[in-house]
Amino acid sequence: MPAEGGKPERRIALTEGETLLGFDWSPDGKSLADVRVSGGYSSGTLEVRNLQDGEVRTLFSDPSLMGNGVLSWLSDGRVLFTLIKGNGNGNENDLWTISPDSSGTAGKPIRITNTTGLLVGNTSVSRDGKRMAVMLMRFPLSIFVANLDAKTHELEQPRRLTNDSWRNIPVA
Amino acid sequence: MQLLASGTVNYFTASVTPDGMWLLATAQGQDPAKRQLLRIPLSRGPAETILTASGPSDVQCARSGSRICILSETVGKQLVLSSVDAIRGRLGELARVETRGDGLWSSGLSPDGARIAVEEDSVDSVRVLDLKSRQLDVIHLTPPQAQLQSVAWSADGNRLFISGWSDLKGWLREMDLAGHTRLLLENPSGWLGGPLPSPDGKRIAYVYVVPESNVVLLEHF
Repeated sequence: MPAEGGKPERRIALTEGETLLGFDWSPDGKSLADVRVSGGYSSGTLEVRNLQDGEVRTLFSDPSLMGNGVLSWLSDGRVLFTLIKGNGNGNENDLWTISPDSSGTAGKPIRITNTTGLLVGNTSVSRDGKRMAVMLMRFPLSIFVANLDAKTHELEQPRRLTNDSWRNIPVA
Repeated sequence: MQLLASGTVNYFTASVTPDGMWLLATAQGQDPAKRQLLRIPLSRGPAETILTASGPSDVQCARSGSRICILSETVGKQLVLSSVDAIRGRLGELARVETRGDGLWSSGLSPDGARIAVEEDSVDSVRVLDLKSRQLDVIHLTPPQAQLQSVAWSADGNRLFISGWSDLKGWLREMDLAGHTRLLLENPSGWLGGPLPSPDGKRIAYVYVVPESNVVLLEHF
């Protein structure tokens, strides 16, 4: 929709089952980069849409694009995105960039971070593109133990038994 | 604290045998489609493979009144329940329960080993199988809950603890065998599951995700 108001125009149409995970403007404001994933999250596509002629260019397709939609078009032209890694539970990813050039082809993705057990939750890039704040999250499975009230069956006095970054599961 | 087993395999479930000699565990090695049933001596020693299960599986042993251990494994669209022994391996098939076949289920053996409760992820009911009579009861939850994820029996065998996920929140409920449920705990910021009551019924252990986050500054990227 024009910034001054007016009729909105549809620029991205998804097919049935598809989900749009994220999008960002190109530095010149003429294109959009987006990540969409297929139904069932079996594959993902990072693509660039020229808003003037409607041309859509696929930069990268991979099932690991099924992440949380972190996407940023940097001022130097690179597109920043995340790829899921690890055992596929969606709680681990890394930042990558890819460079769409003027010919329409894209180079190979380049890994920016190489973390373990962490999920990039969000990013914010400085206007000059030289610094980036990255929110890293992790979701440890912690074991808690609570008392069970004999009469009311209420949980009481829960206490944390494990306090590490492992995926802890109680067994007996 | 004592380390019983480690290595590159992923351990999924584990249960102490009724004689207190072994820890039975299911683990996934190189082949994600296969699970191994392992025995680990509680007196310490290397883990040994008892058998290779056909797919997603778990193992549970009775805590009282019975010396049975049950292996639940996915075979096609069925959940096959077999009695197993740490030394002799598979003793015999007990029952089969129809499932969707995606391996996303969890089961809970009653403390006396007489009944097993089975839930499938995203199904709104729990099935309870009497292992002796083979009677299968389907229990629909009241109020209805759609995203069930794990199930465990109370110490007295009269109730079930059920965990699930809905509206981006994990929850833990108790349920009587008529299906009436009561909310015990919610986790508004993540998953909650794996309920495990203590044998005396006075406490319950569970998994509660406590998200942690930091912001870091990257330069020269």
